[in-house]
Amino acid sequence: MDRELDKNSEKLFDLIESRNWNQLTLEEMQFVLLHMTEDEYHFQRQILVEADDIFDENLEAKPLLLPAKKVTPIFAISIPLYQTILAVAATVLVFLMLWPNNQEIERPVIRPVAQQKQEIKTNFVHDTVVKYITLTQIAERVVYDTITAVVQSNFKSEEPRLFQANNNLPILDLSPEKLEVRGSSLKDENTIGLLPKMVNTIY
Amino acid sequence: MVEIIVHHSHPALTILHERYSKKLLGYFIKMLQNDQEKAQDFVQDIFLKIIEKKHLFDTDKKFYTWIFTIASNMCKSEYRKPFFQSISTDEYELQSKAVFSDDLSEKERFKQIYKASLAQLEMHHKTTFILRYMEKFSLNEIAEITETSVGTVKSRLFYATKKMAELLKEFDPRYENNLFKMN
Repeated sequence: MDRELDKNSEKLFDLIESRNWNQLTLEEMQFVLLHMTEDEYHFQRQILVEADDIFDENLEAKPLLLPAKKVTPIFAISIPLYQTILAVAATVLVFLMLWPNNQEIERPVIRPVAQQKQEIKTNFVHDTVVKYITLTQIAERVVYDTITAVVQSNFKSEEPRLFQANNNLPILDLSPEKLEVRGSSLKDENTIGLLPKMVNTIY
Repeated sequence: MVEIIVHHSHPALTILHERYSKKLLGYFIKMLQNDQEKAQDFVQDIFLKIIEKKHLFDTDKKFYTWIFTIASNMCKSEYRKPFFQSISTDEYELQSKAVFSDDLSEKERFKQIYKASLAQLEMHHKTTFILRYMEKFSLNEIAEITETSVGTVKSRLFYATKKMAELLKEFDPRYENNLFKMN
């Protein structure tokens, strides 16, 4: 019965919500009567209509109060546990890597149980051969030079001067007596004799 | 509306609050056993959630539907809390008797029992019933809000109504004839 009601609940809802009992067709009435009485149908419909007036709708909501923007202090920020664990593990790892290891490692003392005579044979294995090879190289160096200018030197023989002095010129006596001035005229000049004769002839 | 959500600012939120807060308050009161203080807090909270979850808003959908989806999920979370006060059958009977003994009008008595009956419904039935008959959502919108199919919504509405009828059947049919609009 309940399964049948489940199956027909949507159709029953459509009828109850939309139509009065007397508005139903005969077929619909028969369908409804399979699940409820006429009074029940009527009563359920009344409940739906009355729903409107049950609550007092005159209440007003309080004014909207928006909170001021919060600044979360750093110690109040929550972080996931796995992040904390990772951070601690990373710190420990870095600490261990950077911290100098001053502790001496205790090495186990090896005590021979029985003395063994060991004979060491040395076998030389020549795994590295060093060979010196002397290479003689003749280096030639050709220097190419370009002569850009030719310097010509012309030597000319010295031409004879117009008044070439000979070695037979008399050496003049230039004693102070001879140079003494006796008058104001040129004729009184003792040095007049030094002048060429050609000039003398003019006077 | 999309612009308000994407580039949210306080004035824009105030506009949204003005537009939807009353509807949301009504919804929360109905969902939270008529606890008005808690409903007021929920209205405040939902606007903070809008700021937080604005990136989840699908611009192709209606904002009105989206905000009720959040509201519905908030109520669902509240119901899951162990200390949430849901009315047991015994408490319901006590409340019903108290209502009858009080000097209330017939209509007022009916309202009280109706509220108590609503509180008795299972969470998913109650949500669907309130969204459909009190908040006036379409079946498709309810399906979107509750993230179910339209068929499931219809089925839930049928069973919710059936349960309400069972809880309210103590009412003498004579009162019903006087009280209900449809007679």
